[in-house]
Order: sequence, then C-alpha cells, then structure tokens
Amino acid sequence: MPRCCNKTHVGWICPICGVAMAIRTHMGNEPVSVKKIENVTIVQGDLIQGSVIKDSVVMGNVASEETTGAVVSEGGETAPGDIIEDSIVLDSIQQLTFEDQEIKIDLSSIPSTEAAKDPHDLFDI
Amino acid sequence: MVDSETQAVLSRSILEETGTTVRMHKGQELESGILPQKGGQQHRSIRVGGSSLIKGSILGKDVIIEPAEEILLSDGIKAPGTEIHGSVNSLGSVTLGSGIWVRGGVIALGDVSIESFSYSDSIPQHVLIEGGVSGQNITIGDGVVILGPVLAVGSLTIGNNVTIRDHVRAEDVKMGDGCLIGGLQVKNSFSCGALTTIASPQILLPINPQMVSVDGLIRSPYPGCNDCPEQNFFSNASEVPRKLSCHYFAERENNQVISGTCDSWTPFSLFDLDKTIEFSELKLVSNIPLESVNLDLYAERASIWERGGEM
Repeated sequence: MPRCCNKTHVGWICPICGVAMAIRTHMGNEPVSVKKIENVTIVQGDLIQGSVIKDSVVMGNVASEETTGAVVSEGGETAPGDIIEDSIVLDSIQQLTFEDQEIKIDLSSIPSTEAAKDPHDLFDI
Repeated sequence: MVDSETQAVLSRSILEETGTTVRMHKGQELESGILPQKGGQQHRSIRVGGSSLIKGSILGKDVIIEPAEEILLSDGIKAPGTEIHGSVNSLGSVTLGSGIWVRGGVIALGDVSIESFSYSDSIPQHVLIEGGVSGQNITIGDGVVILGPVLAVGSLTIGNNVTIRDHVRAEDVKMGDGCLIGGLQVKNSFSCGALTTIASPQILLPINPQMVSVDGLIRSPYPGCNDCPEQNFFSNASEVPRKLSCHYFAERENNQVISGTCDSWTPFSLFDLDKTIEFSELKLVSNIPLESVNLDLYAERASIWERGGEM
C-alpha cells in the first residue's frame, strides 16, 4: 500500500500532496570477482549448501576470517568448519578426491634418448 | 595456482533447471525471462526467490514468486524487492509474495494468490502489478495495488485497502474495507466492507438482493465529487486520481480504515428501482439518469472517474 505524507493511502497518487507512488528499481546483482576474495579455501568439515555445478567456479557467502572453528550441525551430526551458503562448483568428480601423496616416477626405468634411438630410424634426422 | 585461475570470477548460480522445475535463487538478476525453449517446458514449475530481478516474462505451470527479503546486492545497497519486467503466465496457479513489482500482468488457468502488504522498515512490502490479473479463483491480499483489470472465472476475494484501477469482473466477489476499484461486474454474489469507492458511475450486480451485502454505502465519485467542496485543495494535474483516493472520504491508520470529514459524496443506490435496470442475469445500478437519451451530456463528467484521470 502506498505511503506518503506520513499516511498510507489507496490509489496510485497521494491525495494530500499529489506525488505518484514510486518504487525504487532493482539495479541487479553482479558476480563478485575472486580477486576481491583472496585465498578461498575449503577444508574437510566445511559445510557447503548449494547445488549448481560448473567449471572452476565457487559461489556464495564466504565465511569471514574471524570464524574460529564454528560448529555446524547437519542431520544430527556435528562437524567443525566454515559455512558457505550457496554452491561450490568443480570441473569434474575427480577433483573431489584429494591425495596428499605426490605422483612419483622412477626415472631409472625410462631408457635414455640415445639408447632408445634406432640407427635405422628414417625419422631421425 | 597460475594467475588465470586466481582471476576467475566468483559466479552466482542464478537458475537451476530440470525437466520439470526451474528455480531462481533469491537476490539474483536474470537478463531474460523464464520461458520454454522447446516443447514441454511450458509445464515446468517455476519458483523465483525473493528480491530477484527478471528482465522478461515468466511462463510455466505453477509459478511461485517468494516474498522479498532483506538482501544486500553486490554493490552494497539493499535490494528494493522483487521486480519482473514482463508478465507472469501460468498453465497452473500463480502465487505472488509481497515486496513485488510486476510491470506486466498475471494470467493463470488456475488460481491466483497475491500476498498482503504488511508494514516493515527493513523488508520491501509493496505489491504493485501494472497490468491486469486473471485466473480461475483470485485472492488479493491487503494493500495490493493493481493498475489493470481483474477478471476471475470463479470467485474473487479482495482484502482491505486494495486498489484496482480498472474494472473487476467475477462470479462471486468478496471485498474488504476501504477498497478502491474502477468498475464492477458480478453475477452470483457480492459483499463488500465499509468505505468502498467504485469509480464507474454504473455497476452490474446480482439480481437477487439477498446475494448483495454491503457494509454501509459505496461511494460513487460521480456526481458528488464533480462538485467537490475541497476543489481548491485538489486543483492540479492529478486532480481525478487524488479525489479517487480522497482522504476526506476515508483515512487509513495502518490497515484500518476510518471515515473522513467529507459528507458530500454520493453513494450508489443499490436497491432504488429508479436507478436500477434488471437484465436477464444482472442488475444495472446507475448514477446516470436511466431515462437519459443524451449520454454525451453525462459522458465527460462521468467517464473521467472510470479513466482514472487519463485522457
């Protein structure tokens, strides 16, 4: 209901002052650059509420730095961590698995370039 | 991590779509409408979060626009409410939450429900629909402003202090206190509260008087307000719409409406045989003399109210 001159009124123009009903228009909501939010890190125990999945995009409200191990309860369980109230987005299922071990390659099992060369290799120019 | 990765954009999920549903998150901006892109998608149920902006129309089965919320947008300002630049079209039902501005109209095959305005300093509460509203059964909450006509195939329930600038038509109409409507055509039953204004000088009501229930009298701006005792106060470009919502006729305190100081307004004489004509299904109640053959004599002075001051 329109409100003007300290009173509510029906209609679309204030009967007292003649000013038309006005509504502030929506200015939209732009995405926020990651550059403004440095070091977004998600660790075990964080609760992420959301559903949209796209490539390499993270969204939602990031917990403040002052958060000190907030307790999150979901489904009767309690887990320490921060909360993101919208979606996290990963580019593949494989990214959901994190390994602490680095991939190690045994270089001794690979023959040297000279040893692997065939003397009759037509492409060895 | 390389620079290109750190410069990625923190994106928001605006829409989540499945074969049967569309969900738009609250506080988001959609550059287009929510329309079917291929056959069958017109049957999707659509739910739009509060304080969102849709720069187009919506078409789906059941459409729900959630009430506006107190949300900060990316530029730090508070979202002014939900805004839909187009119309809301439904093959099922439509539910509109408060804090919404629809620049088009609302059309539904099923029922339409529009939530009441309520008082809040922090959450947008306005409900403004610039177009018309049509559906099977329509419920309009308190304080809603609709600038187009309201057409219900079945029943129409209107709360207190509702504005409908254009005509109202339904089989059954139940209206609260302090409403302002442009015109009225009701066939089966009609009831309304106190201090109602109907801009049109002629209305159509059920023939059976027992199906008409009015709390007090209904104000007809014509002819009383043509000779307004407060003419000097209202004399400016928006004279007609100001008089329609006249505070000398009725004043409002929150959602309560009380009688104003003016007693020069004219009512409809709903049961005066000299001012009514019965047709096969409806009864015409007119403040224009029924024996008049020179309608031009009355047209200008009477129709200015129906037009709401528009030329």
